[in-house]
Amino acid sequence: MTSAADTGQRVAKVYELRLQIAIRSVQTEVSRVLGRITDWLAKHGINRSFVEELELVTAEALNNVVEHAYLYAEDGEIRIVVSLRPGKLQVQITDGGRKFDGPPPEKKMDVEKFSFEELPEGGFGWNLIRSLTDEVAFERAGEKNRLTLTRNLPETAGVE
Amino acid sequence: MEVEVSKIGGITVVRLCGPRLDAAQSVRFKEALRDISDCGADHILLDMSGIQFMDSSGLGAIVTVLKQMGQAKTLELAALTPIVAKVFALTRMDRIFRLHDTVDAALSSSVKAAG
Repeated sequence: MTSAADTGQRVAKVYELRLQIAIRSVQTEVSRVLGRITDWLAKHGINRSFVEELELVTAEALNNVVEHAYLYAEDGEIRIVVSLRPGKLQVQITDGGRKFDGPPPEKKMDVEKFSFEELPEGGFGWNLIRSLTDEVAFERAGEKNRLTLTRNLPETAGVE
Repeated sequence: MEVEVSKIGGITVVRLCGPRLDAAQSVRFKEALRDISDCGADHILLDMSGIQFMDSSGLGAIVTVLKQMGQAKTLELAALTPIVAKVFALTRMDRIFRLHDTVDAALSSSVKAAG
């Protein structure tokens, strides 16, 4: 895992804090980077429930990249930028894997309607991401996929 | 994936030592639970108190275990931490599984049901 601050943008805005990390497309690396992100957010005074929810949506997005963009190939690069501004928490995830067409249309899954044998064992990820974020944006940046998840924070959850 | 198994009456309590039940752990979790179920456990209570983080892969793995055990056997969960409870609620899987506040509450409700 390497840390880098070389996106070419100025980081030193007074009210913005950023954490930039690049990892390989491996599930154990995903677990490790999530721990790093949650420590960083907790250190900057973000409430535990927001930290946990951000960890969950970031996990879902990173798992999607490992599974669908890189098809479990372990040599893919994933770049993660977490930024913290007053009232806003944002995670941007960039990968160079298979082209992604953007988040699937929203569909409600009513698990109570399924028979026992047909209970879903997956397909929950995007519902969780949408439930726990205020904005989901996807763009194709050159040969890369870039997903940006934004969560609005109340004053009380804020950045010191 | 480390688990502690205790037999209490007819119930096999499986404590997941955690702290994570995520994509990196889900295959090993399924294997561990299949071993326990194959050893004759037909009523399993998962003690989730040690799990500080669970993603949808972890949830999916629990559903897989439920389906593998089949409807003749029982799988219940107890002592969910807040983020784990949230994953169950947001996916409505809290309607599918029996969830208990604590292991003790789960055990005493089973005793009552049996008595």
